[in-house]
Amino acid sequence: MTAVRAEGVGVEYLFDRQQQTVSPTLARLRRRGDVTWALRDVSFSIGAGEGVALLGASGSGKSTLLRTIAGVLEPDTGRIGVEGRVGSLLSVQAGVMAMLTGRENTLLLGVLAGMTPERARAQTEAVKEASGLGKHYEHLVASYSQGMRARLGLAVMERTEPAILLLDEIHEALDHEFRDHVERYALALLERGGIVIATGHDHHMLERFSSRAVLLEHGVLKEDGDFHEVQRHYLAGRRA
Amino acid sequence: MAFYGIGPTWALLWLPVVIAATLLLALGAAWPAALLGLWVPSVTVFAAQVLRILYFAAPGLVALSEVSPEVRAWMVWNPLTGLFESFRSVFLYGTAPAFWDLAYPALVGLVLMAVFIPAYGREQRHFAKLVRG
Repeated sequence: MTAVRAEGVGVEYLFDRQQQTVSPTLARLRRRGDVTWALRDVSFSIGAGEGVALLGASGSGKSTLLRTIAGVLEPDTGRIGVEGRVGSLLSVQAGVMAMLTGRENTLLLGVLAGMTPERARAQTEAVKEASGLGKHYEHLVASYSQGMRARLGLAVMERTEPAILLLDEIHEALDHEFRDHVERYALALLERGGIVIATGHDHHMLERFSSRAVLLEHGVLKEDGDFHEVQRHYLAGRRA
Repeated sequence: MAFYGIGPTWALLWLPVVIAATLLLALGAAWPAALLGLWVPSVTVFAAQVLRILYFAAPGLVALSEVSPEVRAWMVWNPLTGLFESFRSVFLYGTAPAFWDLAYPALVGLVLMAVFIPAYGREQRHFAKLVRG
């Protein structure tokens, strides 16, 4: 059963006097600066077939929450439970490596996502087709635009058949044609009983695949409910 | 060996042991290097200079026996020294490497691993917060 559950999740960032992020060990060695909780006591549960938008101002903890669900960050307090394979596009770099070609990145990302090398190799032509990169697929990713990188990342991620899709403003860097593709993919995933969790400031796009929204403010979950209701409160709060 | 007109000898059988000691030292150095690179990213430029110094402060180009006793007394503390001497013994002199030439770098590698693998394990969960970009 596909599900995402967060219980009292907290993510803490430590800084030194130069405002550089430091680990606890380094914080003990250096003169310590501020402590910031990017997430504090966040709890929610998302079930199969739910599309959820994370709303909030920049720095409210949306990206940190997505990274925690993706397993990139480990909560400092509480716990997060994820049931189902996660596919994520968390940055415009989309996890691709600049010094490799599109084809080489397909192999690398496929293997990192858990495919066997044989299966990853067998997917390369399908990824080339799906990404629409054409001859650029054989070029170094360093020569790609942000949109091209995202298209490659998404095409590979689709082949890993995720049950949970995480989108961090990435779709906002894409051209209209590919944004439509992301939207269709997200809607199809929801119909299959998957989960889509997305952040972004394009609320019109978010509402098309999100029936629910979670509002974050300074790392704290302020509201969780119907998308339009939460959006109205968020926008009203911004105007006040 | 071919360049110096030296044929293969039975001492070449020691080569896997010498390579194993080299790998132990390299592995031992990898853990603190990974942590330092993350804690102090600018250290990578400095690290390249340290490696260069370690190389030239070891008998890589000149055999240890050709170095003056005063310098030799310092050079033996360099863990690369024993490895260079061991490769020289195996490839050029056709003799077994000296015990301490292999034991010392292997021991340094093991000590580094014993200290830094637990530290690496503790720090690992914070890596994503420290990586920039």
